[in-house]
Amino acid sequence: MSDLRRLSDDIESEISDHLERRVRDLREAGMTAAAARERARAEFGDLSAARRDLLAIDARITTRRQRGRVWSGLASDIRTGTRRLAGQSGPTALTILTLALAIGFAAAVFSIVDQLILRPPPFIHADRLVNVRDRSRPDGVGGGGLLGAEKILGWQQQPAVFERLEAYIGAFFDLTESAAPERVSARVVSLGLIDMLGIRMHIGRPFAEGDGAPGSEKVAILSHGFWTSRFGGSPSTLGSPIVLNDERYTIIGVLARGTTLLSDDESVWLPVDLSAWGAGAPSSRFLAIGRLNAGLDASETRERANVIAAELVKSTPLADTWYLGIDEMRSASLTLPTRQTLYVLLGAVTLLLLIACVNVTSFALGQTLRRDRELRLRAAIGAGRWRLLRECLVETMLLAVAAGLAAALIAQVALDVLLAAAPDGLAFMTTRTVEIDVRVLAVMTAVTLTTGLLAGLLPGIRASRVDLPSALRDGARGSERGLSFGAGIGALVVAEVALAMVLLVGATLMSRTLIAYHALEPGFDIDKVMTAQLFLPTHRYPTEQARRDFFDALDAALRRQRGIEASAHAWGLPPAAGSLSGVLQAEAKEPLSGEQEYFANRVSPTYFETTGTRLLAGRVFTPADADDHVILSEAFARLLWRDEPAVGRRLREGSKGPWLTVVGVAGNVESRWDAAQRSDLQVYYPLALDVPAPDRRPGRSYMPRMLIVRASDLALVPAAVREQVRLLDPLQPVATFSSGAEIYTEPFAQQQFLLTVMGAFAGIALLLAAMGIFGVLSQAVTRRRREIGIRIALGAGSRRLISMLVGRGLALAAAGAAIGTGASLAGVRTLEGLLFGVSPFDAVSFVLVVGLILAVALVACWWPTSRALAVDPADVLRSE
Amino acid sequence: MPSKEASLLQGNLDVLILRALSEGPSHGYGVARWVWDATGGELVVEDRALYIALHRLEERGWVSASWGASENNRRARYYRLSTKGRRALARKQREWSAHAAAMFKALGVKP
Repeated sequence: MSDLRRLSDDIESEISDHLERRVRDLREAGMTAAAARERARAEFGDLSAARRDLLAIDARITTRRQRGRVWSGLASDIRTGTRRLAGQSGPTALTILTLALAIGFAAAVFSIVDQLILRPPPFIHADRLVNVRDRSRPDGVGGGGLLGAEKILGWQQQPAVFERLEAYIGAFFDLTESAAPERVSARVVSLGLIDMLGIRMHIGRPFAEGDGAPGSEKVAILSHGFWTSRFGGSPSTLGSPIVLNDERYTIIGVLARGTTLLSDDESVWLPVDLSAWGAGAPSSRFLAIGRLNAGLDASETRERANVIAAELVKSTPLADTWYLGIDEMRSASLTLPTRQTLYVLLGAVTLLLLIACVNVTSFALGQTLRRDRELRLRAAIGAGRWRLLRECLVETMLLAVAAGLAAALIAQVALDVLLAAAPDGLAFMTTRTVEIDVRVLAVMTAVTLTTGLLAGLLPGIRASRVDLPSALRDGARGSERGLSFGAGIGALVVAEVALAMVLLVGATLMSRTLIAYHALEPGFDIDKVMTAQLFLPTHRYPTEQARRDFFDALDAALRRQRGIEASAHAWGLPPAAGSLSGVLQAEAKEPLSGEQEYFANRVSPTYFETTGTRLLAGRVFTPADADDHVILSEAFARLLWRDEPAVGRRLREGSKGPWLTVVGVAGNVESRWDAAQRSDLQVYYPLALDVPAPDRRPGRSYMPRMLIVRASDLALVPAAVREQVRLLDPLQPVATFSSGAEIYTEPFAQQQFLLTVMGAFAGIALLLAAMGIFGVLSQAVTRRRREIGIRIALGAGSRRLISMLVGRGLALAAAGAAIGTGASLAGVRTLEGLLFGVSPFDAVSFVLVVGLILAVALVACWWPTSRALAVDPADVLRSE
Repeated sequence: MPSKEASLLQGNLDVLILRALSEGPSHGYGVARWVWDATGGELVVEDRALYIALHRLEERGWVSASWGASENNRRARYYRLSTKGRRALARKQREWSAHAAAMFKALGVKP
């Protein structure tokens, strides 16, 4: 500690100065030298204690002064850094903007992943919550999944397994009191569900004992979103009525914002009293959530439940068994493709962030290059390395902090954009909306500061390592000795190109997937049909005849509208309309081995004409067709009868099913569940008058139907349909419209989403990489102006100059593409399962991307090269 | 120098040092002399305490110190009153006279 040594020397001199003066005065007063010295010592007091105390004080003073100097140095660095950056407002703003975009999107994606995957569902005791499904066998196989009220009530009495068990189910209701009837999505929940999950109320009360019982006042709770959009968020909504299916409900509460159970569209929550519903009532089935007994080991849950189920069946016989399927609720419930989509998205945004970080680094490196001469001079006159490093770090920190602040604003917008672009149903089972919260902001801050630090480190170390002898030798001349610095920037550009390439490959594979899908023959005219969901209530349309009359009248009215060619109604439209599975058997033949998965649809006679599905043999349905008439797809007919004609033959599903007569064979249509699973087996049933009514609870129910309209201009259809339906039945709501093309691409919604996002990210990445190449070459031209001038003066042809510069640019791009190819090959594995019709290692995609990168690199070379060619040798030589 | 036993409270020593330096910059010995002369030798100040008080005042920013040459051309540490110290002295003087007046009044003695 040289500081302490200096301090104690100072203290020593001060004390001895004092003692000398005192001795001198005392001797002048006539004392002897020895006596005077002794007296002076005595008056001073304990010398060593004095030294110790003074040293402690002085050390404190010194530390504080040093700290003050660092702060004021930092403040001055910040001031000059800001001034320097402001002097180059264009490039600075661009750098900040790209980093802000990257951080903003990263924050948005992270908030989605965090709140949907990383965190447990936001319910109380979430670690013990389980999804409970109906199973008919102890090994968890069989059963419909939905539980009857009786089974739920029985299990509620089994505290050894469930501390609590509650039920819920989705339903739709017509909101009929208003001028424009609307169909709203509702959740019917058991009385304790809200309490068990700890869902908070925004206002009002949750359901309580007595709600939902027969004869009690009908009550409803609104979602926050529905309350805001429909009731203007007014607190006076409490106690006011809402008319659902022509019945008045009293609104008793509004849920906390963002609460969702199954999807984000759950406008109204209604109570169901399971015990009042229970014994004797026609079955209605529910989904269930349970909270496991705290003392129960998770591994023994199923075993314990099976033992109890086996006992229960003896004491309380049930129509089916007492077995359950119990699944842990680890996080929000997401489908596998959605989860994969989110991870891919997180990867993509991380790449974007890395590129933006590299961009900041190369910007900062460019800054030190520009100030090369100044830095060398300062190093030569003794500026410390730490000081030069600090300057660089301050500069990148300024950039990062500015970007971080901007990103805080961008993040919310980015999140809205992503959620709007995302396929429906991204968020399930959560009581919070995905939002930018404190956690996300903390991560953003960390990312921002890390970016600033990392980006400043490389240029800072470069700047602080100015090689003194060479700096002195040629520091005064703007020579070519920046080449080692240039190599640093070159490496960064290569990294940028490589990272951009990974994103480009991902986006290309996604677009090849969609192209491959759209290249398929759908088998019907997806671009000519528009669909609408209609739910006809059984109290106004009690029979199939009544429903048929409605649709016939609607069809006649619609056909009179300009541009509308035909209409039909059906269960749905391919590719994902109703799927069934079973063992199939042709008459007079052995049943096919194994279960077949096939698609089933019930359609009106005009379905084939309206959708443009080809009829290959036989006839389409007539209004007179009975329920045992079917039309099969070509593949289905071939599966049963090979090349023999199918029309007139009979088949059945299962060994006891009724025999079905084939009246026609239709062309195969594209039918699939998702990117990976499809089938050409399709069967069409008529919407026959003798269709047995499905087993439904008493009171109101709704028959869902898809209205399909064929038109030359689809944009005109919604208004026409709404108008004609209103004329026919003013009480009938028309739910969402979707075009045939929208329905057709639904199985690839995730891919479409990923293509949009990755495409945008890849575009930004490519632009940054191009800017990097441009920057390197511009720098080279500026630094080598003299050399270029001399070469031109000596008669070097422009061809040599061009090949030198363009060659350098392309070399950087090619190096980046080479590394990027390796990185992509490693990265594309994550896309497996999302791809269709293209291999993750698709050579064409890789070649396309490399070609695109080289082409963009060429464009980036253009301007610097033409600037070099314009160098006037006379000018250069004069200026030296 | 000290002949009579009389203790000096820390705060009081600070005021005296500030007052001493208000006459002009001085080294530690000069401050000690001033205190001795000004109090007529009534107050005993150990030199050690005086120096500690000086360095504390420096830490507080009331005085600033710098090295200069002494009369015999050796290094000597000179103290000077800072603006902050000057303000502190004025405040302490006000407080002291109010305090002293109150004490005199309470004890029924005249200054």
